[in-house]
Parts: sequence; C-alpha cells; structure tokens
Amino acid sequence: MSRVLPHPVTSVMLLITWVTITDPLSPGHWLLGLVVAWALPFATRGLFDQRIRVRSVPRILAYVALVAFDVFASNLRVTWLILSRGGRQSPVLVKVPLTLRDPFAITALASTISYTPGTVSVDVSEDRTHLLVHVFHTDDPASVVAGIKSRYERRLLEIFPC
Amino acid sequence: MNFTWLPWLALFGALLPGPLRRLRIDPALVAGAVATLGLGLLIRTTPEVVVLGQTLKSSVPWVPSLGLAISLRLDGLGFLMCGLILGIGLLVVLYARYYLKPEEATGRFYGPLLAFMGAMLGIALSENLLLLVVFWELTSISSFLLISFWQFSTDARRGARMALTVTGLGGLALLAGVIWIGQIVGSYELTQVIEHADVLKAHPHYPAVLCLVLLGAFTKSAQFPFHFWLPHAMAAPTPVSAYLHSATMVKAGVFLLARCYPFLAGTELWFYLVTITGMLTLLIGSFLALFQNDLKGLLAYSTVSHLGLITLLFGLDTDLAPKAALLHLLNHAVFKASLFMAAGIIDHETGTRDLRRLSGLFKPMPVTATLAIVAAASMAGIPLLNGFLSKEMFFTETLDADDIFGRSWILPVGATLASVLSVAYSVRFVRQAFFGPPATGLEKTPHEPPRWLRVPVELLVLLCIAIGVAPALLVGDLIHAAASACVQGELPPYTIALWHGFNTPLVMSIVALIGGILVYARRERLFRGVEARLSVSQGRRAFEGIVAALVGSSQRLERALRLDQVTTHLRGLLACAVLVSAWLLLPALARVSPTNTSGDLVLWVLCGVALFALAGVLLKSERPLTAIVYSSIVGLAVTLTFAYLSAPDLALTQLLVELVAILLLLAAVPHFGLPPRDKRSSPVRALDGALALGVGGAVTIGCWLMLSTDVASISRYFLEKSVPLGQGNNVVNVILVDFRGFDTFGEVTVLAIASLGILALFDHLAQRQAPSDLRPRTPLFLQSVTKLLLNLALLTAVFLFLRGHNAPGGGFIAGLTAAVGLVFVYQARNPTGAPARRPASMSRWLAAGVLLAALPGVAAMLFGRAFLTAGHVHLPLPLVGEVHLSTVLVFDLGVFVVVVATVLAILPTLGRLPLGKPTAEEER
Amino acid sequence: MAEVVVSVLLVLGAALALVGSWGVVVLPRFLSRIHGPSVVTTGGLGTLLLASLIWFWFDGGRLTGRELLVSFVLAVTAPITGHALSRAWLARHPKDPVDLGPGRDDS
Repeated sequence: MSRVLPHPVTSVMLLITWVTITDPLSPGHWLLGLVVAWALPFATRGLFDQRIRVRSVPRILAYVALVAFDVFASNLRVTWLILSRGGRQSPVLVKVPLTLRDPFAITALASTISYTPGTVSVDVSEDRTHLLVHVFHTDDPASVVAGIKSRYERRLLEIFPC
Repeated sequence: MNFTWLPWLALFGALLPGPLRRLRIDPALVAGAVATLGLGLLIRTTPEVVVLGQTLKSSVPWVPSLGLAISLRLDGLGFLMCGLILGIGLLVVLYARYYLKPEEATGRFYGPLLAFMGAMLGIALSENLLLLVVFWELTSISSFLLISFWQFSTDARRGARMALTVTGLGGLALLAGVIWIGQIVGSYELTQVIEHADVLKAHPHYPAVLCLVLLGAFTKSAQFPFHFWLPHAMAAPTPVSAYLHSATMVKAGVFLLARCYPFLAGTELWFYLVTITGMLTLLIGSFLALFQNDLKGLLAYSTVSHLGLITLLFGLDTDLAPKAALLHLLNHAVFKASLFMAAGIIDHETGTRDLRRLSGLFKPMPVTATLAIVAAASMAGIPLLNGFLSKEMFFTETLDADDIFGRSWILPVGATLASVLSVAYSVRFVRQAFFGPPATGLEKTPHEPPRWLRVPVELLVLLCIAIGVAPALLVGDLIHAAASACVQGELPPYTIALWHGFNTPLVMSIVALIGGILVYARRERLFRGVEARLSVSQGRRAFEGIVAALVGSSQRLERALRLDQVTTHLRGLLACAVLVSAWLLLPALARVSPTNTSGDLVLWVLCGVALFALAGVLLKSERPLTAIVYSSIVGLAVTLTFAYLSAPDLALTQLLVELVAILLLLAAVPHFGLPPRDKRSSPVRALDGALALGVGGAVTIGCWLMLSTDVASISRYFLEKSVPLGQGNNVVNVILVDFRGFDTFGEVTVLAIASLGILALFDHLAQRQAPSDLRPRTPLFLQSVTKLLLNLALLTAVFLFLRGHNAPGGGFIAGLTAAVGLVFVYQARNPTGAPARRPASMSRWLAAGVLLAALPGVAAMLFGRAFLTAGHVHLPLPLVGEVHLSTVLVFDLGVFVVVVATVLAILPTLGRLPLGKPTAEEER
Repeated sequence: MAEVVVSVLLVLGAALALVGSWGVVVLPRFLSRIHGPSVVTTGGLGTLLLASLIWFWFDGGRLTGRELLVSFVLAVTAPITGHALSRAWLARHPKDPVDLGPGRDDS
C-alpha cells in the first residue's frame, strides 16, 4: 500500500484541489484527477520521507472553523490596535513549550499562530521543544502562552498522532 | 546502394562508436565494417570507372538558391582517392585496434576517425565545389579532434590547435576562391566550371582566384611556408598520423590541385606559383628531415618533402606530369603509411621514438625491421619498389618541363638534390634505428609486436614490392583513369614500367643514391652547427608570434575601448537602437493622426505606479535588494495591465516570469556585490543622459505610431481560424504551438542552447571550492510545507498544461509553474549541500525537451506533411466521453521540459556557487 | 440585495487591507510590522473572497470551491513569509531575543 500510494493524505488533498479547479465536473475530470492525485506524490516521493498522518477528519473541520473564528476576531483586534494606538503597542517575544512532536503537527501549530493576526511564530528551537512567538500586543505574556496551548495545541494533539 | 552512399555511410557510422562503447562493443568493429563495406561499394564500380573511364554522377538539391547541391561524381581521380581513403583506412583501423589500449576512450577515437573518413570521401566525390568546401572544413575539424585525442598532452592540444588554425584559414581562403569561381562561371558544378575553363582563365580576377584556391591547397598539404603545422601534428596517436598525415588529409591539398587542374592550370602564373612552391617545399622538407631525432618528426618532414614533389609535378606543364603526380600520390601513401605504422610499432615496443636512443633493433625485431627497411628503401627510390617508379617519372618530367626563369637546369638539379637528401634521411632512419649496438636504457625490452599490429604493415610493404615489380598490371589502368579524369582529356600513350633503358633519369637516380649515402656518412662534417639552430622550427615561432600579437592587440583594443565593462556594450547597443529607430520612425511620424489616443483611468494609474517604481529602481540602484523590490512592482503593474486588458495568458506569463526573474536576481546579487560608485565624468553623464532620452523617445514614438496608425491587423485571421484550423479556443496558445510553431521551436532551441552555455560556465565556476556551511539550517517549517506546496505547484502545472489549448495556460506557463515549485523545494531542503541533481543532468533534460518538441514535427514529415503540421485525434472513450488528442500536446510538452530544465539548470546552481572573485590560481 | 452585500464586503476588505498596509508604515519595530500584512492576507483577502463567493453564488448561480481553495493556499503560504522574515531578523540579531525589552528599538 505505502509503496503504491506513498502519501495518501496528500493525494486526497490533491484530488479535492483538482476537482475544485477543473470547472465542469465530468467523469473524465474525476478520472484525470485520480491519476494526477496519485501520480504527483508518487513521482516526488524520492524528495520527501515524512508522511502526513491524520487521525480524525471531523476534528480537522472543527479546528478549521475555530481558527476561522479566531482569525476574524483577532483581525478586528489588531485593526483596532493599529488605528487607536499607532505605534505604541507593547510587543513581546514568548517561548511556548511544545507537547507536540510530529513535525507536521508543529508546522500546523506554527502556521495557525502566524495566520492569526496578532501573533507570529518566529522560530522552532533546534530540539523542537519550544516555539518562539512574537505577540503584537499583550500585558500578560503567560496567558498568551496558556491560550495557545489550550486552544490550539490540545486540539492538534487529537488530530495528529504523536 | 551505389557510390553516393560512401560519405554518408562513414558520417553516420561516426555516430555509433560512442554509444557502442557504452554497450561494451568494440567500436573498431563499426569502423572496420564501414571501411569494408565502402571498399566493396567502390570496387563494384571498377568496370565502369577504371576500365571504361566513365564518370558517374548524381545530384540532390540542397540550397538551390545558393547553388549548393549534394552532387557527387565518381571518376578515375575520385576512385583513386576513395581507394586510398578506404583501403588505408581499413588497415589503420586494424592497426589502431591493437595499438590503442582497450581502456582508452576508443569511442572518442573511432567517431572522429569515421567522420574524417566520410569527409575525405566527400572531398574525393564532390561534384559541387561548395559541397567540397563543406567536406574540406569537416576534415579540418575532425582532424583537430583526432590530433588532440590525447587531451592531457600539451603538445597534442597545441599541435591540434595549430593544424586547425592553419588548415582552417586555408579553408576560408578556399571558400572565398570557390565562391569567386561560382560568380565568374555562374555555377559551382565541376562539369560546368570545367566547360567554362577558358572564361575563367581569361577573367581579370583569375590571379586572385588562383591564389585563394592555392592557399587552401597549400595549407592543407603543408606546403612551404605553411609546412610547420604537420610536424607538430605528430603529437597525434600513430594510427592518426599514418592515416591523416600520409595517405589522406595532407593529400586533400594535392587532390584539390588535381581537381582544379582542368580549369585553373596551364597558365604562366600557375606554373610559377605551383612549381616554385613545390620545389621549395621539396628541398626544405627533405633538408629538415635529415636533422629530426624523432622518428615521426623525420617521417613528417619527409612527408612535407614528398607533398612538395607532388605539388611540383602538378605545376609542370608537360603532358605526363599529372600522371606522375598521381602515381606518386599513391606510392607515397602506401610506403609512408607503412613507415608510420612501423614507427608506431617501435614506439609501442621500446617506449621511445628518439633516434638518438634507438639502436640495433634488427636483432630483437627482425621482421618489423625488414618491413621498415623495405618501406624506407621505397621512400629513398630504390629500384624494384614503387617509390622508384614515380621518382623516375618525376626526373623525366623535370627534364621535359619548360625552363624556369630561363634556366633549364634548375628543375633537374633541384630534383636530384632533393633526392640526395631523401636517400640520406632514409639511410639515417634505417641505420640508426636498426643497426649498431643494441640499445640501452629503454623503458621496455624491444621485441616483435603482437601479430595483428604487424599485419597492416606487411600488407602495405607487400604492395610496395608488387607495384614496384609489376606496375602496369596492378595500377596501370587505375592511374591512367585517374590521370585522364584529372586532365579531362586524352593522355599521350605511356606505360609505367620498371625499365625504360639507360637514360638521364636513371643517371639522376644513381647520383641521388650514391650522393645520399655520402651525405649521410659525412653529415657531421657537412652540417656542423646547423642542427642546433634548427631546434625550434621557424614556422612554429612565427605562428606563435602572430597568435601572441593578435591576442595582445585584441587585449589592448579591449582595454582602450573599455570593453570589459557592461556599460560600454550597453552604450553601443542602445546607440545603435536609437540610430535605427530614428531612421525608421522619423519618416513615419508624418503619418501620425493624433486623434485616437485616448486613455483609461485604470491604465493611467497602473502606468503611474510602474513609473513610480521605476524611479525607485533607479534611485535605489546602490541598494540591490531594494531595487529588486521596486522592479517587482513594475512587473506586477505590467501584469495587472495585461489582466485589465483581458490578456490572461500574457498576465500569467508575466507574473511567472517576474517571479523567476526575482529569484534569479536574488540569487545573483551576492555574486555581484554592491555596485561601484559612479565615477563618470560630466560629459559622459551628459552623453548617457542623451542616450537614455533617445531610447525613451524612440520607444515613445514607436508606441505612439503603433497606437495611432491604422494597420491591417492579422489578429482577425487568427481569431477566425484558431478553432477550425488549430482546434483550440485559446488563440494565444494555438498561435504558439500551431500557427507559429516553427518560431516557438526555434525559440525553445535557442533557450536550450543558452542554458547549455550557462551550464558550461557554471560547471567551470562550481569546481571552485564552495564555502562549507555559511547558510542557516533548513527551518522545520519549510521542510513540512514544501511537500504540499510542490505537489500543489505541480498539480497547477498539469492543469495549466492540459487546458492550455483552450484556456489560459500552455507549456511555457506550466513549465514556469512547475519550475518555481521545484526551485522552492531545492532551496528549502538543501540550502548548503550539493544540488539533488547535478546541473549536468539538466543538459540531458534540455536535449530531451528539444527532441520532444521536434518529435511531432518529424512525425508529420513521415506522413508526408510539412514539418510541425499538427495532427488531431478525437477518441470516444466510455464513461469519459470524447477526448481530443493533438500532436501539439507533445510539442508543448517539449516546451514544458525545456523551460523546467532551464530554470533548474540556472537557479539552484547560481544560489550555490562560491562567492567572490576567483583567485589567480583558480583563474588559470 | 446581493449587489449591496457584495459592495459592502468589497469596501470592508479594501479598508482592512489599507489598515494592514498602514500598519507597516506606522509600526516602529520590525517584528511588529510583520503583523500588518497578516491582517491584509487574512482579513482583507478573506473578506474579498467572501464577496466573490457571494457574487458568483447569486449572479452565476453556482457555488464553486475556488474561493476556499484560494484561502487554503493562502493559509499554507502566508505564514511562510512571516516566518522567513522573522527568522531573517533573528539571524541578524543573534542576541537572546526573548529578553528584549518592549521599548528597545529592534528595527
């Protein structure tokens, strides 16, 4: 299985992408999409060794909805901060200790943090135990760290195997 | 198959040795097979060509507008040359098979050898003079490759360069001469030219034409003062010397004299030029041969002198001189090839070719020694051997010829003197190599060579004796046919025979023989001090002096014009552009009607953004990264303009090209460093400003003209015919791959060639030691995301590629998309290490892409259609519906591959090249 | 009706993008400035995509997933920029960045 279909998750994502971008949904496009979604990860398998593994698809959807809401909320917050305070925020760099170990899960967490306005992940420590996060404006860095861990990392732990 | 196959057989055979060697098949087999097959083809024509003296012809047009045709003729003269080329070629292949070590790059040897054989056959068979020049140049190039076969040797490289330069220059002169002949006569076909020989000889430009053609012949045949390249070409492997420098390449020059004999010879000028050059070469060559310590050097100068002899004979105005010349051409080829091979055996079995170190080899290798002695005797002109016959005829002709400078004795005396020297160096060769005390201090203990290394020599020496004893029987008809073809008329009856009675030529021979032995015996007293002065040949010194002077003056010119700076070239190019534009545009300004130049707010804004960003590029030019950011804004403004004007294909292309260009600039910036401070003087600044204004003005006027002039546009045609003729809705793509497919093919080829050039440059640079680890480690972030991004990019590429014929997309756009994804992966995964694929392997992809693009075109030709005619198939498939397949898809795939390979060849490598200027040591 | 909604969303998206870009101009520190563009890519572009989605739903009568696809690609790629920029900043300021005082000018 793994030799024939080296990256199943990637393949599924590619199939969805293909079906989305090809407009008239005919059987031919589905067939072509299947071929492409299988062939591309197969052709590039030599370049990548790690596989994406997922435990639960519904939880992913729930996570996406949560992040979408957070992005909306923090957009308003950051917009307000820029408009009201100009350049007078109190930014801070915080270290977030990581429970996640899977490299892809860490990437997902870092991406979520960066995608949400107000926080940007700056770096992952060499040993992958800490994430360095820049916070746009806060008076209580500890609560930001706790928020990240409870709101995002806990859910990612349930999505990705560790 | 008939004789017209001969050159092509060898030329196409030349493609085989390389691949065969990879398959572990001895490439000598192909070479041998080609030579054997060629001999068979040639011999089959003997009844017509040699016995009946007919001329076989065939003609295929090539570039009719230039008068260039692949017309071949086989007459007696061509037959003689082809026989030599193929016969000695076969023996040389056999010899080389045992001479070269199996682990040497034999594919690189037999390939050029076969190419050379084909080119020589082409010269011998050309009916069209332009075609002859093409083959002529081909021999120069292939001989360059053969002489430099041992690339590691400085001598080999230098000798090869010298031979190429001298014979190549001669080839250019010959080309000029031939074109001139064509202008005078009105045709390049030999038959026509011969028919109009009187017109040609009476033409006021005849002297110039003659000089140009003779320059070609003399350089190729190593005539004085161009003789110096031949001894230096002895750095070639011995089989090459035996083939090129005795039997074939150097004979091309005298063959040309024979070919041109009917329409250029017979004038006073020809007589003096050819005779004197031949005489000088004969004397100088045989004199210098006497002092050579290198076996092959001695043979090389001897070859020079014998070529002089043949040339001299062609210059004489007697009826039989061409016959004597052709007989000697044959004889010299036979004995000199065997002597070169014998010298090679001595080198092979003793480890040296130095006559001062060799001695007494007769005892350890008696058979080889006997063979060499017989061949050397033939070279000296001893009776019962073939060399004697032609030398006798030579003496006869010098006696019969007209007086030169009013003195009848000059020619016979010169001929005898040269023969004396020729005997002397032959004796020296035999005496010093084979007799005397056994040699000491050799690398190897001398012994007989392997059986098959000697067989070619045995056959050739046998031929020396056979022709010497029974000339009329063996070669009488052949030489007669060749000489008839050479003079294009009746020859006086003459039988080549061993014994013509006791006459003056015989006396000259006896004098030469006795004199030669005496000269050898007394050489130390006679030539005391001469040898030291001859250590470096004057010719080589002059050649190198000229080359150095040329290089030096070029460098001075470069410095004087500041050609090492890009700005200089830019100024030149832009100034030319302004001048040409002024010439073309200013008259057209009268036709401008300033009515329909309206604008649109969006376009004005985009234009303003682009202008603003351009100003940023200029003002921030001392900070490269900032300037790049500004330039990307310009690109984006242009992209938006295209999108706004409903040109999605252009917008996509612009966007991707912009992306790749920025990556390229970013990768290149570290190599350039900061731009130097502006040190231009104010007049130069003013000049540059004027130039900039001129260019800007020209572009403005050009755009204005284009927008305001009503031109009958061809776009309507494309819009209407795209679907019915090209079966695609995306007109841009249909134009690219179908209507103007040939243009695209050319562009793709140019792109591939440019990339190959860049790869070659990078290959040189990348050999410098790269700094080990200056870059940061790959972030985890990128490692994880790249996989997804690469697959997304590739998916998009597939999508854009497949829909390209009907919607925005296509091979070029898809190629850029895929390439950007791949570059991203390279940079993310491997910022420090070597590229995952060596850039060299990209050259294969480039070739594959170009071939792929050519494939449907060639396929169309196989179906009898024009190159690149598109073919369409509509396949009804179950479930899927009708699928439209087109050959342009393959073409577009070729474009795709070339684009991807180009980007991957340049970008990842550029990012990895070591920074900074090369040190002096690396520069070398 | 749909036109009104779409128009409002378009103006809103453009306004968010403007504020994000304005942030790049006014914010004093390098790391803070990275937050400006993230408003542009999430809030600004998200709103514009929403407008596009609604427009094609009502006007073209079709609900396509292309806007979702665009947001997906944005979600994957946008953090890379911020990440790369901040790492570059880190590489040029190798002192322990966690201890940076809030008032320090780290531009």
